[in-house]
Amino acid sequence: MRMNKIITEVMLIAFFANSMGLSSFAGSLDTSSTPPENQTPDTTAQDKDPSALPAPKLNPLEAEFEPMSANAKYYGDHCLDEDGKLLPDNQITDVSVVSKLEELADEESGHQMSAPVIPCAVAAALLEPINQEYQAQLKKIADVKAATNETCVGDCKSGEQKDPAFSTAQTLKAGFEDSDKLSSELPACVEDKAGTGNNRHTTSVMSCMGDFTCNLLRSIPGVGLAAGLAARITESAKNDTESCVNINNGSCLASALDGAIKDLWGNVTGIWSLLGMAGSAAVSGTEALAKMAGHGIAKAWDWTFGIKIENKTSEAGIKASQLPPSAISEFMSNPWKFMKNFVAKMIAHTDEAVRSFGCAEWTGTPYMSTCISPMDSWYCASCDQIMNTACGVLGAIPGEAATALLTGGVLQEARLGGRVLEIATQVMKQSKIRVVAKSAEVAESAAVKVGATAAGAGRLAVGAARLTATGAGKIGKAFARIPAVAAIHKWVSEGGFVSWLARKKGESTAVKFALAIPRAGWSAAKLSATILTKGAYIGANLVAKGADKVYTQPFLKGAALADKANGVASDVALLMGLHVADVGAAMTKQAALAAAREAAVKELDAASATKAGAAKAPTSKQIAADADELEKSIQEQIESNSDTIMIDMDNYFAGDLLEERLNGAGVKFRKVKSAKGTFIEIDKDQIPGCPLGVKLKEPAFTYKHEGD
Amino acid sequence: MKMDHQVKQIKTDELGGRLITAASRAIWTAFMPVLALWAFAFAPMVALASIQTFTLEKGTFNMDVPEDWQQANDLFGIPLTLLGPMKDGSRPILSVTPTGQTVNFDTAALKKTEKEYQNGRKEWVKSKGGNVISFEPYKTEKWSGITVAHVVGYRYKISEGEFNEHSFYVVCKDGLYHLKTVIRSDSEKEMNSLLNKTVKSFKCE
Repeated sequence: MRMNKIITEVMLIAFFANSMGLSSFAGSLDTSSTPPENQTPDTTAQDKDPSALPAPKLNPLEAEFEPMSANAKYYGDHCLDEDGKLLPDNQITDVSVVSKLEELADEESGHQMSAPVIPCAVAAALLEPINQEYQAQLKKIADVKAATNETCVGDCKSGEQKDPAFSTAQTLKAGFEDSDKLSSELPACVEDKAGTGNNRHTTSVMSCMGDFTCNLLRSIPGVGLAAGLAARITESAKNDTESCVNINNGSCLASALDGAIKDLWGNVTGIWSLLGMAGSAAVSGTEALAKMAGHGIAKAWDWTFGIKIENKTSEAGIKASQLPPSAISEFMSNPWKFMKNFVAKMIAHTDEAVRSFGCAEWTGTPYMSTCISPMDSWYCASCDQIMNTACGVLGAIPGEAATALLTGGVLQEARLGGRVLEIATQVMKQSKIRVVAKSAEVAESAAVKVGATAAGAGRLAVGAARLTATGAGKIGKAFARIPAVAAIHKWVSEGGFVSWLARKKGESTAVKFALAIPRAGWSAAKLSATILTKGAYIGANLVAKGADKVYTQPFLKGAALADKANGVASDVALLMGLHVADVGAAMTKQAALAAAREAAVKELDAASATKAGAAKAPTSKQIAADADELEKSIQEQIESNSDTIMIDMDNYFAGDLLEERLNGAGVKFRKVKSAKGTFIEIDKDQIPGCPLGVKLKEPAFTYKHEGD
Repeated sequence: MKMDHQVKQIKTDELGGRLITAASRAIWTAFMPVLALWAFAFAPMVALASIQTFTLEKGTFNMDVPEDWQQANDLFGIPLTLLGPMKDGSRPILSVTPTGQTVNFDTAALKKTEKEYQNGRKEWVKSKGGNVISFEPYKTEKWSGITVAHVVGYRYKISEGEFNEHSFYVVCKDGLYHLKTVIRSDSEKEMNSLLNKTVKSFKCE
């Protein structure tokens, strides 16, 4: 198939990226570049099948490789047939492609390869490992995309689905952190916290759902229940006179509850029928005939298939073992009522889990013990906030875990604490701006203690860099708990693309991809990571510029720049620390630590530059003393018998300012360079009766060194 | 309406298996003192049980079920669950699934590959935040009404509870049956014997 060929071509792009370097090669193969020699541009495939090459919406990996498709197409055109199969006897003659293959061969064998042409069979053998690696990366990207479900964060475009984790964070912030706003909007509610609670408009998920259970249960027969049970539920529901109220808010929670019901109540015989299907597919013609004739076909039992059966029956068994006799009696006599109670308990468990986020006081360790005092704002939250939070919480945890959480019992007890803690970790991460603020406070406090000196900046940078390394590990672990990030984490921990690129291309490409990942569907935390990253880069640039100026202008301005750089260096160190932590989460802990160490070295370099510059730069006291000396020297020379005034510029911090001021005042002078140094020589007749030092003194001495 | 999982229950006495009918009531009364003595003697070991015939969607079988046990059809997706008495928040469970599938068991091969079963159980327990304590090796048993039952089991801990679980795969004429027992360890001393007796009373065509 033509499609196979094109897919193969696209996969082979990795080779070219690998051997040539992404950016340089991409640059050489942009749309205006000339195709390799002997290549006949073939756009027919793309014309016929728009999906053959990456569509307008490219993921970062595809986007990165897309410009390199010309070389891949060259290989495809020359070495693959219409079905994508290798044409081993064909030859690659294009000089540039041959040279790239030679580089690859050299890299793999350690021997220099030189050939005018390369057979396609050889090229294929050289490319195969890279093909496999690239294909694996593509699969992982697909997994990540599936995990993130192409959700958006922040402002979603029309038709895009909002990331539930983001909703959670936003809702939690609004519901629990922004209590001032709630206080102003709902004074009666908040003021009533010590009262009867009459002004509190909601207290639980259940109260927001109304008779939602009724609607949910109406759909139960469709979730894979045993036919007999579905019929019994329908039969017993006839006696229920409660009305069903459609509550839109419940729709997202309905999905979670529906999934949990399906997990727990799905009929085990449905799993057994899979064994039958597998067996049917495998039976021979004779066996099929026998089956058609009514004879059973024996399938061989194996433990692998048994896992599904064992899991389902264990889950059901342990759940059933906790049901009291009264519940079983109710289940048998009125399954409708039993299921309503069951769903109500699920919602109650949800409420309990969600409320944990708005807890002001615990019996013990937060999130691991019982909440004895929810935050006031929880009671004042709207149903929208509560339901969104509930959905966000449930959406943030894996299906099996959600089932255990919702259905309670011993399984829930075992896992609830840890699970809530995991979610809490996510929330902490979502609220990372606050963590930054805290770090900034610490840094500020430290800055005050050490003083905003160049040396202090260096120490701050070192400390922040150390924090970076530690924080990267901690935050990396927290990130790994988020489903979408976990997928990425798994991806990179197995030699993922970011790591791969980092290895091949160095930090710049890795960072580029780390930044691209949020666009591919990371959650709100990643959004803030991007913002922090941008901040870090801006700060880094400032540091670079500041350090540069400090180096090249080591006088009065240098002192000011040194001070400025001090602050920037510490800010950047903090920002970079968080940035590295974010990127590090995707690059595995080890990679993150390596990146953090690298960042630390850079920060130290920057700090050293700052420190060096600041060391050269004088303080205002030094400058004042220096200017006094200069004035005294000039005055002495004016009063001397010599015809000229000689000023050794190397001896005075204010030497370059003197030169500037002389020019500004229109005083003619000569700049003399000799083995002894650089001197300014002024003829006395240029300054009749003019006390030059006074003129120079004022602007120089008014400079206030910020560090003094 | 017709119930898919209709259960036919035929009560019999422990000695002769004869139907308790109005006609036999006189004879029954005559033997009552002997029976009472017999029941008293064995009461701590064997609760009163009755042979029940269960007709489910995918198969029919008999089992001696203690009288104070409950039964539930289609509870959590399992065709039949038998539940023992509650003690300290937990009760022994016996679930039965007639699969309707014709399945061959290669004992030698299953012995060699039982690690797969163990790994599967480890994964499941781990997913619940618990840990496996021990495994019982795969074996075959002969019961009074069953030629071969393929048995495997393990013991695990989840939260504060320790559980003992066994799977029994029994090949009958109308297909494979899967029985599973779950019992919390603190009930084992009192209930395990009865649970095992109940399982092994299973009879099929």
